[in-house]
Amino acid sequence: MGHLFSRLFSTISKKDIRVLIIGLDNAGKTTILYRMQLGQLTQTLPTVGLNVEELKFNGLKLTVWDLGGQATIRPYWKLYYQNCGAIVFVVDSSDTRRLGVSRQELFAMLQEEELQRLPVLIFANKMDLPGALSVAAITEQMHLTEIRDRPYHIQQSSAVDGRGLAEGFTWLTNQLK
Amino acid sequence: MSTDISHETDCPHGLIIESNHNGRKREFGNERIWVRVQEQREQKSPADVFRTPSIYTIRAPSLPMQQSPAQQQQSGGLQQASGERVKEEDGVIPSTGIDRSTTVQAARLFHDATPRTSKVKKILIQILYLISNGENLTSKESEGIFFGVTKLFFNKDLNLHRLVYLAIKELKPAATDVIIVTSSLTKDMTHKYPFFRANALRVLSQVVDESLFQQVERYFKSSIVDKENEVCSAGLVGALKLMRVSPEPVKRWVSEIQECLKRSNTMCQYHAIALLREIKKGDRLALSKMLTSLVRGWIPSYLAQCMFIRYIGEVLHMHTHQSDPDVEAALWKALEAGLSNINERVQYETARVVVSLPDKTRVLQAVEVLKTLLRSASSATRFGAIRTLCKAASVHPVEVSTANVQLEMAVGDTNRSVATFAAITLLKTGAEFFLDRLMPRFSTLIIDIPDESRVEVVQAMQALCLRMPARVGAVFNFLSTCLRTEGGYDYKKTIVDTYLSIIEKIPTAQTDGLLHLCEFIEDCEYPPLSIRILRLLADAASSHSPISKAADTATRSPSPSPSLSASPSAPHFHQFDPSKHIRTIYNRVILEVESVRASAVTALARMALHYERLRPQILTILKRCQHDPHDEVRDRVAMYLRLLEPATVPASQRFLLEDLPAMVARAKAMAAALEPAVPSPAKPAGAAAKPAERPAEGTVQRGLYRPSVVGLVAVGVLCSGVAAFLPSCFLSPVAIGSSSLPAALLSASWAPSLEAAEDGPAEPAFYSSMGLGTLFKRTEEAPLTEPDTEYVVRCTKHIFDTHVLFQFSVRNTLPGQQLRNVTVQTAPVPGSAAADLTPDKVGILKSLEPLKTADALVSFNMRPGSFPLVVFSNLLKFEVHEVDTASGHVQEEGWQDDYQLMALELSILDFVRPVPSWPTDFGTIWTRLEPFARKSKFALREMRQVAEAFRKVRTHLSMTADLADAPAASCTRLETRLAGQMADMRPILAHALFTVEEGTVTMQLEIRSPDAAISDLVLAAL
Repeated sequence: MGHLFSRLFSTISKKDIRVLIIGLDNAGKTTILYRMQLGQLTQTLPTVGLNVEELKFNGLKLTVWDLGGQATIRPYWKLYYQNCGAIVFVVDSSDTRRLGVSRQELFAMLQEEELQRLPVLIFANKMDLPGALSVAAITEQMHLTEIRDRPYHIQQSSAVDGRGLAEGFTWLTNQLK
Repeated sequence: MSTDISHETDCPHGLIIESNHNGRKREFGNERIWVRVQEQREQKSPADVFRTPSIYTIRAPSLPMQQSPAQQQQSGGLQQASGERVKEEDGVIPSTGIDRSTTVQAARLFHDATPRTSKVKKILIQILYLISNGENLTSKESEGIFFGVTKLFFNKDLNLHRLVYLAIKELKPAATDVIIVTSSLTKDMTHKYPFFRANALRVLSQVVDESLFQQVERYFKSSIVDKENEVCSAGLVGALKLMRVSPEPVKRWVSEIQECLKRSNTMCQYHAIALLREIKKGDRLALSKMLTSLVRGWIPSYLAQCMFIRYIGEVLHMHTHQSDPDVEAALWKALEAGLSNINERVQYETARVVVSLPDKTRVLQAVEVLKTLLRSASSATRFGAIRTLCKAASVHPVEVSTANVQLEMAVGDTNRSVATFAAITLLKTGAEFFLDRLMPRFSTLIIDIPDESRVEVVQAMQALCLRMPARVGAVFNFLSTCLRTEGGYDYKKTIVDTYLSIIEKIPTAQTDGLLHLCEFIEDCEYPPLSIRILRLLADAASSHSPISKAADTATRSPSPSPSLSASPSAPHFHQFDPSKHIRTIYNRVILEVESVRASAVTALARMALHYERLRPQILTILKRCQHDPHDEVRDRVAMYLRLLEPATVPASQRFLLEDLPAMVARAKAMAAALEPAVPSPAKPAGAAAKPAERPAEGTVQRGLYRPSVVGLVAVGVLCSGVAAFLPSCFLSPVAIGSSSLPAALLSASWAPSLEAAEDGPAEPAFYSSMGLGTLFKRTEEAPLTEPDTEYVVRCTKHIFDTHVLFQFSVRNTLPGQQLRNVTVQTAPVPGSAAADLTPDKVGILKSLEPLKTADALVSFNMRPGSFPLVVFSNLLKFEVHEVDTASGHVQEEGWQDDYQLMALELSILDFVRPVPSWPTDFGTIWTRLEPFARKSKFALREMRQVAEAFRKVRTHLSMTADLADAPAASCTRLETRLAGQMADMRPILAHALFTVEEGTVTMQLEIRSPDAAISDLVLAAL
């Protein structure tokens, strides 16, 4: 009975959590979003602006904001940080050349006042590609161990076939409950 | 329908759209607000007229929004200010409680995680209301709101979604910010509701720029073939807007757009016609082809028909010799069909086009149609018809006069605008008997209409009076009624102007006219008009004076010198009785402001001088004016009293009447003396010797400046108060103006123009004393300092065969400083090739008084035949002595100071001058110099017109061009040859081709000179 009440309570109070998906362009953010929502692969165009979809996962209702990753759009990211509940950062693990840029953007974002202490889920995406780095290599190259002020989780994934996405979002929703 | 002229246009939009302004007024009466969001600028675009305006109705909050006292304090001022502004504009205070700062604050709600939809909608409506009411949000505010709105895009509420579209469009986000909504909008383009597809297209076309356009182009193209009419028309309207951004892709869709013409939906058809015409705008042939194909087709929408008719008018206006007569006949046929169309608006539009066309054959038919439209029940239609008739009446008076009966009825129209235009039209076309009947009605009409319309009626009245001089009595009666009614300055000025021009042209009307004007100034609230009328009275007095008449004949008979008795344009008055007017004038002295009093005193004195029998009375009056509170008036009175003393009068008169030719000669001498000191481009002093050229306008100005001019002439130049009686023909030209003369003297420096150099300039005195040789060229003066610094220095370069002389004109702008031993230290910048130059002499400026300009000189020896291209650095050195501004005492103790000037460059173009006459052997030299030719292409970005570019380039190159005439401002291609002379007398030739590409002028320039290096240098100097 108590369990039931707490369930009820939790669904009411944690209704509509805003989740940001960000990362460099061509990291696979939009594909992840629609894979999660529709359960299938969609052809996407580079996002000029943002996509927003609602997602029910693990008993939570998430409003997922997928912000475009092009350099021209990145300055606008911070306008959408307000009232945000969690962050998903997507890294293209095959794009070794831009890991540094990716790292800079990630840590710059984590500095933001409005995002303090929010859980961060990092997808090491595109693991299906031949040149993809391992989770350990990415953790090391992006100095992810320096994140100390918040829960974070790095999840190997492939948005094309859907591997790893559910695991990642399960971790995230568990953090939010 | 509105009755206000300014809110109606004669286009179909005007007929169907009420202005927001009026809409709002009415709604406030019902305590409801209609936020009618229809952009003003879109109303101009024909294609958008058909858009369904999105109307949201909300009940205005009956109480102002709850505010904390602090907030109220903060926003109170603003609210009040905006309230007052609205009050001024509309006479209505909106009691809506919608206030900008509160709303902007409330818009923060958009950023909430889950804002309440109803509340958000309310805030958005308030924002839209503010914007449509002309409230200017700061860019920061609107940016904040914009990003807030982007977060609402994903709300599921459909009405909120619609509001979001409107808000994005109204907020007009910056181009860089817009990209944030692009994805969202493109996503909506595949929305299941066509309404959203259409709206997304409209918003996108509003915010898109060229780079973004490529990404979204395909959506527009596919929307044009969308089966939903709504989407199709949105696509067409969007494309119409995109034509401005990037016309090329849109032009590729012509076949798709033509398909839209076949749709049964009137809206699509209408927009498609507009878009097709926009695409083919520049190409008359294609446009007439499109139109002829439409003639055969079927156009159900009357709005589309109106557009179609208009475009036909455009094509027929562009009539050329190559026009195909068959095509023209077809188009005319379409116009004839339009005249007999069942729809009033199509009829009207056609008639309007027909009367504006140069071809007169169908004007009568059009006037017939307009006549029937005058009986329409809609006042907008009547207004359109009458306005068109009024316009046409100036061009086709005979044809329009067939509508006189209807026009006469229209004068009694309940709509004042219609009545006004009817009256104006009748004044242009009416026969005499009409007018007798109508005059009383005009007099009642004029009371009810606004000033702008009154001005037009009065002007029409003037034209009529000049056309029918016999009716001058009736016109004067009407005008005097006008003078008695309340009205603004412009209105009264127009009436006075009308009187003046009628008095001038119809001599018999003068007595009456003067009496009316006298009556007017008894109660005139505008001093400039009083002054003009007083002057007119004085002029009238002097032109009728027995003395001046005698003198006039005496001076005229021996030589045909200009009329000296009064200003040349002063009318010749019949039966002038000055005593009638003296009372009026004296009333001015008692009742008016000082400028009028001063004029009145002058007028009285002039009368006294001319009429001996009135002199004692006037002297009595003048004596009473001696205690006037104002200096100027007292001064004048004192001077005139002295001049009118029995002993001086003969002298004054003699001076005035006999010595005048001598005076003019003296004035000429004075002007000549001033000329070197007053070099201004307007050449005021030069004009001084031509009294006959006195401009007719500006009487007011002259009246106002007169005192100071009198003072100037009397004190400064002629030392005789008698000069005050100089006829204005002499005074006014010398009126370089109290304001302009000192300025001209102060800025006096001597600026030889290029043209002057060509004709052999008057050489400054210092040339001979410095032994410089023969002058080759003198350049235009160039600034070496910013124009507003303490010491303003400008430099003229004088190029001689063996010397270079720099003339630095130094202006001391500090009233409290005298400068002594002023020199300019000029030295070649290290590294520049100065071997051909050696310092020669330095001309020191011994002392430079405060606020004066004088020249310091520096000369260099130059190796003959060389072209030293050197950059000089310049330092102004001087000794500062303080001046006590009150006493003018200069302190002997001074200190050294210097002032850094801008660099000065000797360019190759300084060694080129125009040839005195065009070389006949240009062709031969041109061919001979071919080996040294250099070519280049320049984009003259700042120029828009070929003619302007040509003039600039010619001046800059300082060469003579082979074009005898100045090119027309409209020409788009210009080819010219230029010839110049180098300092070593060798020729330099150029060939320039100017074309206009994409709005900017480009120039292809080929330079040929005896030395390839020189050709290169010249090109580089450009």
